[in-house]
Amino acid sequence: MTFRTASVYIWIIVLLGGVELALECRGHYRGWDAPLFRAAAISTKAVGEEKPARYGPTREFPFRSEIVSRERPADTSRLWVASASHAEDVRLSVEETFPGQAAHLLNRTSKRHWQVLNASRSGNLIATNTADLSRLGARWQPSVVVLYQMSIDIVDLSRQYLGATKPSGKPSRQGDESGEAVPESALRKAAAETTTYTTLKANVTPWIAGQRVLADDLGDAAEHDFERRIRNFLHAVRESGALAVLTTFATSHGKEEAGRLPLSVRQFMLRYNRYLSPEGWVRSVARFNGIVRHIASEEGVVLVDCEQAMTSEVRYFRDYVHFTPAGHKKVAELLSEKLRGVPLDTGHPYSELLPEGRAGKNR
Amino acid sequence: MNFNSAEFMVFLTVVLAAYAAVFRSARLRDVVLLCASYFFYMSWNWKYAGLIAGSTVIDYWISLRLHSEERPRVRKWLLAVSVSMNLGILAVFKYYNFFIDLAGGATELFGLDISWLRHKFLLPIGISFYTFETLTYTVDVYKRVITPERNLMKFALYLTFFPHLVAGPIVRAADFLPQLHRTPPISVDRFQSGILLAFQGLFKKVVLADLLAGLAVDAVFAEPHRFSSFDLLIALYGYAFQIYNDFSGYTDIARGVSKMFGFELPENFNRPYLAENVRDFWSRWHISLSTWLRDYLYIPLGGGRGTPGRVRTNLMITMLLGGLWHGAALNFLFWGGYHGALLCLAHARPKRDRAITLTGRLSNRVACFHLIVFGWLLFRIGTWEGLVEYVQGLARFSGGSALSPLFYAVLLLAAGCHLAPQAWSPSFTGWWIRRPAFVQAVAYAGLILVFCGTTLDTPSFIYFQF
Repeated sequence: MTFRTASVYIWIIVLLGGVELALECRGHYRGWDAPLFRAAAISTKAVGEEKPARYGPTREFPFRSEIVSRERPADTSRLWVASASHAEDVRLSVEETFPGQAAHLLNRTSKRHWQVLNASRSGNLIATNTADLSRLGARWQPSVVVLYQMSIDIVDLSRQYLGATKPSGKPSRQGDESGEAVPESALRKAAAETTTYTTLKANVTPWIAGQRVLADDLGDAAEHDFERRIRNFLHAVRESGALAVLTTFATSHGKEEAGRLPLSVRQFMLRYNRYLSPEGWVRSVARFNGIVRHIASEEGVVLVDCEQAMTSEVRYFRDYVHFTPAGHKKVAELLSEKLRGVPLDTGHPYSELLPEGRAGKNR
Repeated sequence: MNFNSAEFMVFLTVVLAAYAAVFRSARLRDVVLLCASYFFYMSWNWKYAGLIAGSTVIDYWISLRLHSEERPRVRKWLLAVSVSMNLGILAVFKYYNFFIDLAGGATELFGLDISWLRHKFLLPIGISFYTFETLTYTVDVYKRVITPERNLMKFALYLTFFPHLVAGPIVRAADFLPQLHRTPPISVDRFQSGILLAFQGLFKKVVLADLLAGLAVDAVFAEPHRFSSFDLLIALYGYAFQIYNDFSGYTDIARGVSKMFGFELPENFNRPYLAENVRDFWSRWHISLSTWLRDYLYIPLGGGRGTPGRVRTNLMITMLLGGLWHGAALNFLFWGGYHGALLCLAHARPKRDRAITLTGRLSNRVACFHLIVFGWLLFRIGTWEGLVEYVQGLARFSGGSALSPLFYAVLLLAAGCHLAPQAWSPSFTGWWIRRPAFVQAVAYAGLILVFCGTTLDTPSFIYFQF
């Protein structure tokens, strides 16, 4: 066996390596997070490295927000934001994301001092948020925990209930937004992280997925599962001793527009989910928001209705689910409006925000 | 470690590099391939490596004893030990729960619950394939068709050689062991034709089989009531081509990879949907299994000798067991029985003397194709209710289609590839491997990108479960 024998094989490896390098260079010059140039790209690390003394995440402070001491000062309230890429938003600085802006607004308008613990990370499911809170809640003592989540759970549920993987009854693994099963081996993970693979998955696969027979509904079992996830989260919040705040999920297009979604939105949905039709997506968001409202009312939980205030306002969204700076500002305003001026440590802090007779249950 | 995964590409590259480094030493070649094969097997489930290793050692020892032993009675006992051990392992891991369930159905009538006897076994991957290979070897040694392999490493490599370990083809010792005793004839042409064959298999698997399944077949079979009769029929054709391309794609990859190491594995498919009758189909579909069943089951049962009733019984037993080989479920048993019944009918049909016209041959092919396709319904649908629902859906004769143009395009491409004359393959291979290495590599790298882009659900090979 000589090199000449295997020349085709060697050329294939060289060519694939060349394509990856070229795409990484292209990605780097466009400011994307390419594996080879990761250190130089825009990322949470870059923000942390620029101002190491001020923002996380760091090893000691696992949140994407301004670094604070572990012990909560007596006259300070802590807002824990449990979300995914919606609140992490690595394209923006910490202060531009809605948790950062909410802290700013609350500190400006409230008598108390507010600190933010932004526990949001791209790909988080509600189950991951729940696990994070159970693991870190006691240590970081949040006063208020806000959940802004839905789209990744829809992707996860569509995979579970409509895809090849059937529900196992076990807690879901952490999902990612690519619509792929979470890579199990380091090698598969490395391959899935290459710019070539992600580019193909973002541009070719959605088109193919759009050609398949897609479901228009997640089904009752998936809805029950979603409800269970939210209730588990509320249980974890109560265990941590904090006050829970639920939010409805806002999107660039509402259910009235289900039949006339722009191509870019349809492509976006199919990039992350290969089983649910775009129309089914929009309907699922509306139905799941109904579930969130129902739980909030039933359990006496504070509700911030982002859907009502923001859905179909395209200026708030850079894609179907992620916010523009204006969108982040709007969410921050909605949050701070609800939370403003409430004395947390005297009597029941949120009695005026809660439905009558439900105040005791929230704590 | 699926053939269509990044892990396998890296694994193959490393093994090829190690193999090339030690190529001059026959012993080291065997060591590299054996280590690689065990690593490959253990990447699925390391726990069962001991099972295959133990089976290898025992069969190795028994085959040597069988060869040296002259007393017929002792030889029969040795054969019985080997066959019982191998079939016993297969029965325990693959069929134990199935038979407990069957027996449970009967004992339930008397109010006896034996479900506690069920045991949660994890099926060792490829067990059906390597068990048949060990059986072939021992029986052939017993019949003195072959002499036993004295080198344990070579014998172990015959059983575990990674390209055919998981889903065949079922390789016979007489074909494979002699290849281990010579220097593998690796040349540029052979290596490149191996790469071509492997990519041909990947194309069948990733582009044809997986797209057919992902675009429509899985959805239609999951909820047949949502679709028109026309869609149900098209999806059934789609499944026929999916399962063919999935399995023959695997075989092509296995054969191609083997070729890159200098070994030849037997062909397993020969355009089966062009068969003119069911007997013809079984000489074209999963050839290594059908010839195994013929040589080691049907003929020992009596084969075509004896009364017509006896021959039909032999056919039926062979096909029922062949069906059960695919899986421990009643639908596989029914599928085998269905094919057995078709073979019995073909056997009962009087032979015609006059030559069949072109139209006659064509109509035979169309009829046979539809009989086979109906059989896939039994194969695919695991429940009686599901089968009835699908057949009722077909019998509604409703029109209209909810399937996408891309699905139809892939189905036509799959059918076109199937219909392409067999003679085109060697002439295309000959032409292609004479292109510059760079040109070939550009095409293959492009195909890899296509594979990445078109993969929707990363499913495994259908025959891995058997």
